[in-house]
Amino acid sequence: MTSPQMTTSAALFWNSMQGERVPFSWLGPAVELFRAHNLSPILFTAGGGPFELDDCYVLADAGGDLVMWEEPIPARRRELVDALHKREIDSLVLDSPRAGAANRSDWRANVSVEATSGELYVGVDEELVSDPVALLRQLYNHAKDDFDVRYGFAYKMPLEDGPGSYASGFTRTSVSEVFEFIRNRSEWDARPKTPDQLWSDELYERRRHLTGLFRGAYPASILCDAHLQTARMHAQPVGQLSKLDGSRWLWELSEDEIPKAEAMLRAEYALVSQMTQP
Amino acid sequence: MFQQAMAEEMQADGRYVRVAMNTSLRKFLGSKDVPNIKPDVIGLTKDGKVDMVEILSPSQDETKLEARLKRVMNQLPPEMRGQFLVSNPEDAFK
Repeated sequence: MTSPQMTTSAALFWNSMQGERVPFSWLGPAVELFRAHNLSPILFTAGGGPFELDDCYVLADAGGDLVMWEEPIPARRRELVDALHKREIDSLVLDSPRAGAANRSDWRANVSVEATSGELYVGVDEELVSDPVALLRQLYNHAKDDFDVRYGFAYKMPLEDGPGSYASGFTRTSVSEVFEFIRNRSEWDARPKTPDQLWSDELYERRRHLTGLFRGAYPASILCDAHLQTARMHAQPVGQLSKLDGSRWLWELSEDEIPKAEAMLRAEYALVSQMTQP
Repeated sequence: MFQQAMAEEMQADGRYVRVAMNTSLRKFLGSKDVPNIKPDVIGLTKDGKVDMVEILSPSQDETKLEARLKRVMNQLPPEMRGQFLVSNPEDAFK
């Protein structure tokens, strides 16, 4: 039995405005992540302009079409660049598949931006980037000029658990779970929401993670002053807190400190999952 | 294969008044005021909630589809918001 492929992930959340689009300036740093690790091909999916979220393309100029998973994958880099320049793209994911990948979820690196909900995610094979703190710092440094980042966290997770979906609070559903849902539809609605579902709701609704609430305690988090006040972090320091710039902070926790930090956040009523549902 | 089986399961269940495959949400609800997407399976429950299921093809990005369904669900009136599920056929026997 082989051990699962581990990934290092970082997610940032910013104060997005209605109708916000992915800036063209974001494409260069995103592509650089793949180039730095010699990852190719780079695939992309985009929402907005001439693109549909159902489709997959190669980030290459015309002539570089691929056939993967028995489907032709057209090269449409030029159209993407054009649409980004015109500020038509509200959702973009770039990823590079593992050799022999059974599907798109089996990537070696993934960069995803959701402009409307203000989310940015980067996931990389643990062998390529092992330190979540370093990945979060790198992501923040690339993003801070384009986005008003207010919160972020970094973590490690097996790829098969869907680390990209985890960042947004989505949980994977197997085919058998869909059938179970259909057969137990009434009970499904009555079930209390999980912390992940509450997080997902928060991202798309009240967004209090931008004004001081936490999803949890992670090896590394980006915080703003409001988070420090909510959790009274100066009064009860756990882990290492260092100022990044302006009112942004980097909070680092060792593995042993994470349960203590989680308990501290819970005691201060600072977790999204503790909030009463509207 | 799974798409048809899921739609048939919904139809047989008795809790849905209408079930569709590969049909736009606008056409399904007969309303131009809802987002124009075409989930693999849509069901309208007896109490007026819309459920949507997407079955991933190998080249589709899971998180983007989940985010899209979440956005669409949030654009429906609160009383119509049901559940959305994105399912990977690779996980069929887990």
